[in-house]
Amino acid sequence: MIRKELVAASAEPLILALLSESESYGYAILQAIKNRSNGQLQWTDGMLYPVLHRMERKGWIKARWGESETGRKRKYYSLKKDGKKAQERHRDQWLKVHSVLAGLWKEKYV
Amino acid sequence: MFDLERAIAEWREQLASDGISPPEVLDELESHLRDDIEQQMRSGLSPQQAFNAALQRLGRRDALKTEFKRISGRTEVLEKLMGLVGIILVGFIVWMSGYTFLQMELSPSEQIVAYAAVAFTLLTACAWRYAVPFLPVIASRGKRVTVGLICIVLGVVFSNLFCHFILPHFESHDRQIPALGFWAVFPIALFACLGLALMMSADDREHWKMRRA
Repeated sequence: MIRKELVAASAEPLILALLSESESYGYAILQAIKNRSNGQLQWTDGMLYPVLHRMERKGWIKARWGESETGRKRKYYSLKKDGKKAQERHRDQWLKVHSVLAGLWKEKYV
Repeated sequence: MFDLERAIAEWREQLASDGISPPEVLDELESHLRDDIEQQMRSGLSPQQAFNAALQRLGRRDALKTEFKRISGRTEVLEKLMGLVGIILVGFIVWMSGYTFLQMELSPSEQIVAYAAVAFTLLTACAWRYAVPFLPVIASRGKRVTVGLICIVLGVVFSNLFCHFILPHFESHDRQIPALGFWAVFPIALFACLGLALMMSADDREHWKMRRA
C-alpha cells in the first residue's frame, strides 16, 4: 500500500491525467485510480470532492450536472485549457523526481 | 426493516447539520453514495450492508467537514474582503466627488449633472459583470484580446471627442464645463468594462460564474 502522503501529493496529477482522457465523475475517477493502481492507491472516497472543488476553483477543471444511466443527477468533470497546462507542469515535475530517484537507485543497485 | 431512502435522507441531514451546507455539495456526495451502493448491491450485498460499506468508504463526517470548510472558508474570506474594499472605494469616490462639487460651488442642477456622471460610472464599474452573460463569446484568444483592447481604446477616443467637440459648446455658461466634464470619465468606464467582458473566454465566464442561467 502506498503511503497516504504520497497518495495526497499525487491526487491532482492523477485526476488531471484521467480527465485528459475523457469527462468523468467522482465515483468513476476513484474506480479508475483503484483499478489502474491494482488497489495500491487507496483514497478515502469523500476526500476526492474537496480536491475536485479546489481544482475547479483554480480553473483547471469545469463541472456540469448531467444524468446517470439510471436518470439520477450526476456531476461530471472535464479538463479546461489551464488544466492541460497544469497537467504538463505536474508531468515535468514527477518525471524529474522519477529520473533522479531512478538514477540514484541504479547507481546503488547496479 | 431497513429503508435505504430514509437512511440516505438522514445521512444527508446529518451532513447539513455538520456544516456541509451547500445543496450542490450534498447532491454530489449523495450521488456518489448512491453510485457506490448500486455497485455493492450488484455484487450481492443487501441494501443495508451496501449503505454501511459506502458510508465507511466515504470517510468520517468530521474529516469531510474540515476539508470542505478549508476550501469554502478561503473563498468566503476573499469575497468578503473584496466586497469590503469595493464598498470603501465607492464610498471614497462619492465623498471625494461631493467635496469637489462643494469646492467648485456648483449649483444644485449642476451638482445633479455631475453626480449623475459619477453614479453612472460607478454603476457601470460595479454592475458590468451582470451584462457579461448577454455578450457574445469570441472563440479565438487573439481576436478576443484585439477586440477587448479596441474597446478600451475606443473609450479613451470617445472621451476625448466629448471633451473636444461637445464640452466647448457649453463654454458660455459658468461652471457648466466642470459639471459636464465628469461625463468624460463615463465612456472610458463603459468601454473598458465592455472590453474586459469581451476578453473573457467561455471558461473564464464559467469560472467567475458569469454564465447565463
